[in-house]
Amino acid sequence: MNISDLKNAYPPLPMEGQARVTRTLASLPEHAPPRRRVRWAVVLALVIVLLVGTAVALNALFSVKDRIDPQFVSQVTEIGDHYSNQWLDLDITDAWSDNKYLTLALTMTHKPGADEVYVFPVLTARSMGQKLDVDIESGFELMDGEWLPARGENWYGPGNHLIDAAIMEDILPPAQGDIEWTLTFHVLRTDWDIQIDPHTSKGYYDHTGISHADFIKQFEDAYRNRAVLLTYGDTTVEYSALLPAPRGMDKDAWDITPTWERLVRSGAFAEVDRFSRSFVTPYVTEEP
Amino acid sequence: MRCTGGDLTLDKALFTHKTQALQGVMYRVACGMLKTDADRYDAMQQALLQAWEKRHTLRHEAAFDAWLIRILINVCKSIYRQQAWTIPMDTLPETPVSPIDLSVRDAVERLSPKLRVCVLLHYVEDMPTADIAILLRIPDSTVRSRLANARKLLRLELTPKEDTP
Repeated sequence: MNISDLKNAYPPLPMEGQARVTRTLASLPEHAPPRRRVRWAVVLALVIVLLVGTAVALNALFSVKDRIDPQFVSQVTEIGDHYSNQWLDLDITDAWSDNKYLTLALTMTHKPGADEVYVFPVLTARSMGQKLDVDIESGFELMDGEWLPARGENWYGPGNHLIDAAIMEDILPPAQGDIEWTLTFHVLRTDWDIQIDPHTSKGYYDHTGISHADFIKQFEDAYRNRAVLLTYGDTTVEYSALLPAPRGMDKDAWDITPTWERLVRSGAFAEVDRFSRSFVTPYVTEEP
Repeated sequence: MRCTGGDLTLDKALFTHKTQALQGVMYRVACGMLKTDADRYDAMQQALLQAWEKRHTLRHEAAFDAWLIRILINVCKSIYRQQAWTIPMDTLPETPVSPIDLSVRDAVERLSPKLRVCVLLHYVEDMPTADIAILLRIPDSTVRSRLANARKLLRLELTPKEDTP
């Protein structure tokens, strides 16, 4: 097979599809989208509400129920787990699972006045004593490392995260019963200088004015100069991928080392805390 | 009417223009993730509606293509997930489309979704690996490694058929 085979195998959009797109575009409502900037009066009102009623705030915890198809709400497992340390507050609200997928809602916020930390959650799962193969599908803004206080914007509001994970069944067997999920949080700190890559700082990769080789080199240079170079303003995905393997370590083994561990073993970060939280989702046998 | 979001002004005319230019790419990405044209059109429609509703979150016009495809990929995953409860995917009839090489498509569709999306975006849509990395939020090196794995698997998938007289 060559590339032209591949291109020919995927046809242009049929007329029926084009008509569907045209109809959809014609039906788009003209109303204005929600405003990004919140009025001061609204902020003040929110502060008052928070001060007056903690119970109200607790009931308003970020939940998967507001994010999934209503027919699956009856399958949601309430978790209500709270954890706190000197840097952060964590609330794991609830989760939905159908034995193959997990959708999880949590809120993680920075403690005012605490040092800046970089938190990496790692999700694992077991069923009937057997390890399951977990693959993160979405929620990378948290699972790829979240700065506290946050350096980037959050789609679901400050501190709120929705994680989707899938159980892969091609290497390890599927779940045979209830699933015990464990989130292990690695809390990292760095004393190195933190720099922002200008070519991705607008939220997309701007190729202009830099070759790919030079783009890569700036991460290697940053590491040599004891600096952490963030892409898109808040992520170490590129930086950690380009860290050199520690002396004596096989490159293949280094390539599959988790990001948080690469950052620590490179000397750029230190792990200052580690904690785990677990919850169980029941084995589902019937459709909702 | 023009609505502002961040430093980008995205009105309905501009949204329509950019979307129509992308509809072929959207369809082929949906082809890589869903089995029937009905599902693909549903996914495209849902993605367009979501994108229009969330347009205030797009801050830079240059990121529009990646942003819309990302939404589409998420919608496709969601549809696929819902179908896990209803009809086994293998029992659904493939929408006949001609003239195309179904043996090539069969081989691509046997790849895992992770590899398949990389193959479609890179080889069918000519998207650079760096752009795919941004779209899928994975390192560039991971995209290249997925493409390498996919190439190996595709050769393995097709070799017996190519050898058949």
